[in-house]
Amino acid sequence: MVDDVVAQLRAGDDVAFTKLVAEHHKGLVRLARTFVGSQSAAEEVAQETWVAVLDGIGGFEERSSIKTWLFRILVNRAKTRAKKQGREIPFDVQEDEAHPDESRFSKLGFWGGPRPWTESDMDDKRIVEIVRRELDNLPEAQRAVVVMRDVEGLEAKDVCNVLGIQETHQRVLLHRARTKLRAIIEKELGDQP
Amino acid sequence: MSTCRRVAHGLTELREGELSFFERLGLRAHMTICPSCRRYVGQVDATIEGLGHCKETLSEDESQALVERLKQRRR
Repeated sequence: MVDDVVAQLRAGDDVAFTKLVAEHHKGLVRLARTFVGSQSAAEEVAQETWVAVLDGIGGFEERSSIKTWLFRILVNRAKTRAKKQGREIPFDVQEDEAHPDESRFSKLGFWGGPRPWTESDMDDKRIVEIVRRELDNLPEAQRAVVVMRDVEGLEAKDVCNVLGIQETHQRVLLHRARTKLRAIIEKELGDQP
Repeated sequence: MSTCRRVAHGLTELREGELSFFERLGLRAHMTICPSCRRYVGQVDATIEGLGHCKETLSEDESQALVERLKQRRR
């Protein structure tokens, strides 16, 4: 229960805090890297976030889940650090970015579909390997959204809240990230034409 | 009737419940008769499932060591 965790943290429960750290630290570092670039700076931002959680848990008003609050603290700190580094992540949607499969549609909008993946590929560890590797190559805004939605399991409204973006933008960024990753997997796993 | 392009472009909107009743109906009708789009949707789903398996956690030892470092930072 979310409320239990908050109560436990307020009571100084080390076990509850350690469990929360175990569950979310790597996700925080992964998201921070989107903003600050290097692994060491991302680790630093994630640690600052945990300290801020311990310092601020008493004032946490529970208007969101603790997970959303955690990610919001991280993003605010990561943005501040990125700004100092002269880095800025554009979260606006590039209207001219084509769908990765656009060239495969006929003029009427039909296609022969993607190359099939074998049955064993569909639940194979290969998909996870490819996706894990290629996440880092996505444009930062798409990566931030897909990491929060599909890796860390945040709801759309929470991602919008954390990143300060509109739902439409969130959805477009998510769609582009998912479809790009699918296209990359197809290149590696799809049957040869 | 929707096209394959509309399915490829509108899949996330469909999943997020952002399409109108008639748009949903059009996409679902298209997917029923189009094996290429069913394959495409299955691959997007497998990609999302793969993403779900990318979540990484710290081991008990790693998290305990980190919590100790965090406590020292606060002192």
